[in-house]
Amino acid sequence: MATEYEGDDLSDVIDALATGIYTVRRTGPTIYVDGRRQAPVTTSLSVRGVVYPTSGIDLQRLPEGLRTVEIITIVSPQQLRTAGPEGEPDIIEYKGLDYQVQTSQRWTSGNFFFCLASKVITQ
Amino acid sequence: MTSWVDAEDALRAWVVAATSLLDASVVFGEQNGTRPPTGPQIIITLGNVNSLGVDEYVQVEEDIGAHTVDFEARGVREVMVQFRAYSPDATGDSTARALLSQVQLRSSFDSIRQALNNAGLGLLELGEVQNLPRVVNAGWESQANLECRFCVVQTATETIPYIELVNGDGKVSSPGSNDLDVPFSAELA
Repeated sequence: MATEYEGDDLSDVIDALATGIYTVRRTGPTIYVDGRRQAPVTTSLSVRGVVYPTSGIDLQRLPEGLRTVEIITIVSPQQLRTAGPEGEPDIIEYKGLDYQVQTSQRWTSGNFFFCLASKVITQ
Repeated sequence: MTSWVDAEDALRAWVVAATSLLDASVVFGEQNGTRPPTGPQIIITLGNVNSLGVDEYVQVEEDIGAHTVDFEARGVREVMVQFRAYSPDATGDSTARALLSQVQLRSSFDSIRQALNNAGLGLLELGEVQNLPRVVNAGWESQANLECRFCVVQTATETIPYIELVNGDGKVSSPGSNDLDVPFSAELA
């Protein structure tokens, strides 16, 4: 059986350096009625983490179409979700604006999640 | 065409009837949200709308009491519809290509044609079923594409008020003479 060496648990450090507690809106799987998407059921949760502007190198990990949108980086001990079978991407509220989670990487060494989120532009 | 909603519903009903897929597995494309549950699924996307010929603009009704006339703009349009099928099965009757082949075949059913016609859709051309399997993550996913051309007639009506009766007072003046009052009236024949 393979053994995975776990590094230090940095979640306490992230908690100590957290820039705030943020509201995250999470939706379940999309429900279709007659082929049309219904308004998703959303729940709210609070996430503690560090939010800072995304570096140029990290921006390049996103599709080109997202690189001209404002992107923030969130580091948190709590997992933020991207789009998947379990639901639509999480929306994090930051400074009164909504940001949609685009990537969420689990760092086993350190026990935290590294996420990129793009500003939601409402028409 | 009665409405886009009716047209969409008729297209979807055709796919569901032809493939016997779950109701939740046949959805319209270009919507936000997650894909339907796992298993075979078909996504319907309405595409370009091309104008065929010149649109008409004709008077269709007159309401004498309300002093209005209804005009209708009527145009023939060609609408492209894409059916995109996805299936985890690579062989058998539930592969993406097999599902779309059923959609293609059953378009000749009278019940299907009638339902499409009732929604204002006339089938102009059945496209080819393109087999487009691809590797998703570490495994094959059966995918196929079918594009069809439909003819629809779109109409839009506008109501224009008209003047039935005009009354007015005129005055004719000439130097050295008294002014002459000239009342006038005009009525639509």
